[in-house]
Amino acid sequence: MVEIGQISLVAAFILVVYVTIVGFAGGVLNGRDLVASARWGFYSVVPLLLIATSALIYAFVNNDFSVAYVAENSNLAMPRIYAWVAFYSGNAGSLLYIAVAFSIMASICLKVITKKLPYTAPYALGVMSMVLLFFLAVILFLANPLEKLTVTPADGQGINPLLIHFGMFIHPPFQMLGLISVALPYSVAVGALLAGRGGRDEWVDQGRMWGMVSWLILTVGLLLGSWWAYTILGWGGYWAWDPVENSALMPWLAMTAFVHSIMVQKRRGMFRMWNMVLVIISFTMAQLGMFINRGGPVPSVHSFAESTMGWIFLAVMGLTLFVSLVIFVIRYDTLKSRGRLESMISRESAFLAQNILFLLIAFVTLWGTVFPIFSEAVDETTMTVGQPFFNKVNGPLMLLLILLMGVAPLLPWRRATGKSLARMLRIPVVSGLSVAAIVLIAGISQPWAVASFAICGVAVSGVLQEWGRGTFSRHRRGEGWPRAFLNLLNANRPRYGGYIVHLAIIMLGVGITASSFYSVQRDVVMQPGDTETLGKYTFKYIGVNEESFSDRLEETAEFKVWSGDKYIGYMYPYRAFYPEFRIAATRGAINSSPMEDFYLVPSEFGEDDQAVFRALINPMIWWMWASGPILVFGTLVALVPRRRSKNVQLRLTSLTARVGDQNQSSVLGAED
Amino acid sequence: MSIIKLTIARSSTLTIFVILLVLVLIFLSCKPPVEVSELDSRTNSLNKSIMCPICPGESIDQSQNELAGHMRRIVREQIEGGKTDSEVREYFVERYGPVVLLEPSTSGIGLIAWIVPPAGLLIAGCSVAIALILMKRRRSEEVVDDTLSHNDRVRYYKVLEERGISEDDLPGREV
Repeated sequence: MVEIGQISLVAAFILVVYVTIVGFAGGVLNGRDLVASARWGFYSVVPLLLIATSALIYAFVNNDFSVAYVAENSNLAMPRIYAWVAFYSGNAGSLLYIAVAFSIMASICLKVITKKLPYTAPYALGVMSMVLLFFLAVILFLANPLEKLTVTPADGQGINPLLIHFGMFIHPPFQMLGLISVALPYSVAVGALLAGRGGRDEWVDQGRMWGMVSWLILTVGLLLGSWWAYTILGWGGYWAWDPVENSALMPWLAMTAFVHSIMVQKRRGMFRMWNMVLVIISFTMAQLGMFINRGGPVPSVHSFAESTMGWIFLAVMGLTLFVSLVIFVIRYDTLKSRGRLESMISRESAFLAQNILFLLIAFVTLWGTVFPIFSEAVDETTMTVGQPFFNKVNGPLMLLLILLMGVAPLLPWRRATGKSLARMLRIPVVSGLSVAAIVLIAGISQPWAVASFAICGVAVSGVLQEWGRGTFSRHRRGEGWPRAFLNLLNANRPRYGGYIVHLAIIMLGVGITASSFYSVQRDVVMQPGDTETLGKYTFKYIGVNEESFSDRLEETAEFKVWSGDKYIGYMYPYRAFYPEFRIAATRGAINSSPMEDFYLVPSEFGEDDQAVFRALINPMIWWMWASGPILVFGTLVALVPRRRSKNVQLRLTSLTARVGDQNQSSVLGAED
Repeated sequence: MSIIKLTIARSSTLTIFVILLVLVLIFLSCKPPVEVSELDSRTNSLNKSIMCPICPGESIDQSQNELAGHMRRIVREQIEGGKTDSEVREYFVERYGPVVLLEPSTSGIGLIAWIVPPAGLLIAGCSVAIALILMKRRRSEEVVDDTLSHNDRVRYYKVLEERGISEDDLPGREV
C-alpha cells in the first residue's frame, strides 16, 4: 500500500510538471487543445494524491511503524480515530495534506473559471500548478511522509498530546486550508494579469468569490483555533499574540481588505492596481505564515510541524513576491482606473481608509513578530514582544476599524453631501453617544471599554438603520414585514450578507472587549473539602481522582459548584501528564452561559492532597463562539450568486435620463 | 404624506433604540460584581507581562510549567513585600535578561518597537490622503466619464430618497 502511495506521488509530480509547462504554453499560443490537456492533467492529480493520502492513513490505522512518519507521530496506545489528526500532525504529513486539499479546491476553481474566464484560465492554471509543484517537490525530495525505515520499531513515538482534542479534527485542517486557499484568488488575479486582462474587470467576480471562500476558511480556522486554546491550553484565554497565531492573522487581515476593496472595482472600475497589490500581499502573508509555522525563527507554542525547511518557504515567498511584482510592473499599463474619485468623503475613500487600516494592523503584527530578530541583529539584545504590546498597539487600531465598519456602509458612492451625511449618521452617532453615557453611568469606567462599547453601538445601529430603511420602504409598497425584510436581503446579497457578517464581527468585538477588560481570576490553594468563592460562584473541592493510562497519568479534580444559591452541578477540570513527552495538558472545566463563563483549571497538584486551582469568570466569551455560525451564514449569503435577468441591468446614465419621467417607478422598481 | 413619513421615521428610530437598549443591558452585565483586591489585580497584570523563560512566548500567567508557578509565587511575595511593579520586573530582568519581559522597554532599542506603529499610522494616513488627492485630480479625458452634472445628481438622489432606496440596491455597473 505504501509503495502504491509512493508511485502515485511520483506520478503526480511528473504530471504537475507537464501541466505547468503545457498550461502556460496553451495560454501563450492560444492553443485550446493544449489548455484542455493541461486542465485534465490537473484534474487527474487529485485521485493520485488521494491514493497517496489513503496509503498514509492506512499505515496509521494499521500501525505500520516501518513508515518513518507513522513511527514518529503515532503509537499503539493512540486511539485509532486519531489517525486522521496524526496524518497532518507532523511536517511531512501536513505538506501532503496541503497538497491534496489544494489540488481539490484548485480543480473546482479551475472548472468554474474555465467557463467564466476562458482567456484567463490557462494562466491561472499555470500559477496553481506551480504552487502545487512546489509542495510536491518538497514532499518528494525533502520530507516524504511515506518514506520507510530500515528497521521497523516495535512501537511509535506517539502523537503530541496537546493535539488529542476534538478541535484538532477540524482546526488544523481549516487553518492550513485557509492559508493555501489564498492561492486561489491570487491565481485568478495573476492569471488575469498575465493574460493582459487585468484592466478588464471580468476577473473581479471570480476574484471576489474565491477571495471570500478563502476568507471564510481562514476565519473559521482562526475561531476554531481560539476555541481550542481556550478549552485546552488551560489558562483561561483564547488569543496570546503568539507568532503562529499572528502568522494566521496576517493573511486574514490582508484578505479582508481584499474582499472589500474588490467591490470598488466591481462597482466603479477603480482600485485596479490596488486590488492586485492586495492579493499579492495576501498570498505573501500566507506564505510567511507557513514559513513561521514550519521551523520559523520565532519560538511558539503552536509549532507542531517544526522542521528545518522553513528557509525554503521563506526563499520561495521572496521569489513569488518578486515575480508577482515584475508581472505587475510589466502589465502596469493595463490597470488604469476607469472611474474617477469625485469626493474625499465617499464610499470609495472609506474603502481605501479601511484597506490601509487592515494593512497597518497586519504590518504592526508582523513588526511585533519579527522585532525580536531585529533587536538581536542590531543590538544583540534578545527581546520579547508579546500580548501587552499587541493589545496596546493593535487594540486602538481595531477599534478604529469597527468604527469605520459602522459608518462607511452609510456613505454614498461617489460623493456625500453635508446634508445626506447628517441624515445618515444622525442615528448611529446619537446611539453611540447614548451607549457611552449609559455604560458610564452604570459604572463601566475603563475608557477603552467604554469607547469600544460605544463604537459597537454605532456599528449596530448603522446596520439596523440600513435594514430598517429598506424594509420600511418595501413595506410601504405593500409587502408584509417578514417578506419585506427577506426580499431586501435577497435583493442585494453581497451587501446584506456583508451586514450579517458585520453583526457577527460586532459580537466578536463585544466578547473580546468584555473578556479582556472584565475577566476576573484568582489562584486558590485547596484541600479536599475546602470551599472557595469567586464572585457569585461557590465551589467545593471534593477530591482528586488519579487514573493511569498506557500513555498518560490523569488527575481529575471533582468540584461541586453553586451560582449564588443555585446548585449548578459537578465540574471536572483535569490535568494529564504524558511521561514520554514530559508534557502536561490541562483542561479547564467550563460552565458557559451568554453572560459569563465560570472556568476552573488545575495549576498544580501538590503533596498531601493540596492543589492549586485557578478560577476565572470570563464575561461574554460565549458571544465570540456564537458569532462563528452567524459569520459563516452571512458570508454564504454574500457568496451565493444571484441570477440576474438581462433587462434589469441598468446603467446609472440611463437611470438618470429618466429621472423626472412618469416612468421612474418602473426604473427604480426594476430590481424588485 | 409627510406625517406618514414622519411616523415611519420615528418608529424605525424607536426600534433601533429599543434594540440598542437591550444591547446596552447586555454590555452592563459584563462587569461581574466581584471586588478584586489591588494585590490580585496587580499580581495578575504583572504575571501577564512576564514571560516564562523556558516556555517560548508564554507568560507566567499562561504557562503551566512548574517554573512559571514558582515565578508567580515570587511576584506575589514581592508585591506583598511592598515592591513596586517596576521593581518586580527589574528583579526578573536581572536574573533572566530583558527577554523575560513580554513588552519591549520604552528605552534603548525597545523604543523602536513602540515608535514604528504610530509612525506607520502617520505614513499610512498621509499616503491615503495623497492617493485620494491624486485620484481626484486625474483628468477626466483619461477616464471614461459617466459622472453626472450637478443638477442631475441632485435629482437622482432626490428620487432615491423619496423612494427610500439605497443606491446599493440598484443593479451595479455592467462592464
